[in-house]
Amino acid sequence: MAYDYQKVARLPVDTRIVDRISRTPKMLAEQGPGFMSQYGSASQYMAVSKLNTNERVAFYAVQDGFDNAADISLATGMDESAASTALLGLADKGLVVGQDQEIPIVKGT
Amino acid sequence: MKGLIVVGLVLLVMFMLMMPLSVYAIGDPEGGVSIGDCNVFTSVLEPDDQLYFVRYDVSYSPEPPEDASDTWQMAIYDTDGVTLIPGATRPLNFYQHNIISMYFTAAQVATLSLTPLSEFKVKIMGNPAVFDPITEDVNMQTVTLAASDWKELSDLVTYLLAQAQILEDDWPLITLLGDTGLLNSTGAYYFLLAIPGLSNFAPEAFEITTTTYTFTPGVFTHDYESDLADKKGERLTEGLENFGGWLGISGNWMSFLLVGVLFAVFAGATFSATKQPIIGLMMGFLVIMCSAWVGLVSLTMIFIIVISVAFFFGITFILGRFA
Repeated sequence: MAYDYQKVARLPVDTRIVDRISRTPKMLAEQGPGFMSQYGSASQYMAVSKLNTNERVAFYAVQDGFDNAADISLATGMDESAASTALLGLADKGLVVGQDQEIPIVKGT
Repeated sequence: MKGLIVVGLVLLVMFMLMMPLSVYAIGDPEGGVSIGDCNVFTSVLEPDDQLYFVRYDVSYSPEPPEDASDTWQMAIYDTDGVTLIPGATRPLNFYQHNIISMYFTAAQVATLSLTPLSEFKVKIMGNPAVFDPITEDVNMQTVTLAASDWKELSDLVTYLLAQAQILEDDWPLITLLGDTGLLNSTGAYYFLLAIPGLSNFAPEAFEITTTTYTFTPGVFTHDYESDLADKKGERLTEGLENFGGWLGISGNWMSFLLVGVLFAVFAGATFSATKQPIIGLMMGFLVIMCSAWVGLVSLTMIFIIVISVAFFFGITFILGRFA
């Protein structure tokens, strides 16, 4: 396991804070060039923050290249059926991204 | 008539059903609720006031759509843990890992009997109007203040900057502290939301801040001026009063007139002897200073004259430069 998926699934910061920073040029300038590329737009961050824990864990796992329920289960320790449900949930919300696509949200620490 | 009443009642019920109601579907935080730090600072803005600070984590996953200020709050209970200090609740600004505070003026501290070093219970809890039941470790977290949790104003800046560092470490790629180690505008914005008035409590914590300038006027007794005025003695005072009375002016104006005459005589005599206007004026001012020292003219008057002369000289000098 590359890292603790359950741990990174935690949301450390309120989405309203990210939203405010992204809409305030002075605050945004202080965050440095990595902020927007890591968080994506505020709406992307909010979309991810509205996922349930299993979906968010699956989301990170998919970003890391685990693209089926069995692999995600192996990588994250999540039950395979739960991983399958989470993948379906991600697909419904249009949030499944390939490895080569931009990662819209930074992983938590 | 009876039918009319029934129709009226039906319309009333329908109207009530159509009224918008605030219904919250928020549940307990999946990741639980925890308190990282809780401290009280005393005498931050005035002697004996109190500032209660909490760093908390109301860990939702996913984040609820309801505003945190409608659903969660900070509350301070008495040492028994069940008696809410009157008015001691404040809605949270944000979910997840964040900070909040409550400030009590010295008058409020006295009225509410918030005795320093007491073991008050500080809670981060769901709003009782939204959550039922309120359960410890589920939708409420309580800390009991220990004596060591009570701190002085001198600890505040270091403490808050440490708190900002903790948040910055936990909030991925969000910078709250600038290169100077002080709160940048992002950090300032969120800390001021959590601690209104912080720029007055601890202006040193900010890279850029606006504070209110407080002017405390000194107490002036005019003792020295009175001592000088007494130097001219009763006889001279009486003489000036009588002479002034003969001219229809007060003794003080008579003194001023006398000093003016002395100034003109000495300045004129010096100018006649030296043909130097500056030396003449200096001699004249020497006469005025001596007059103040013997009590003929008040120090206040001297200062007004000096400031006026300096002002007009300044204008003449500056305008002369650009003429």
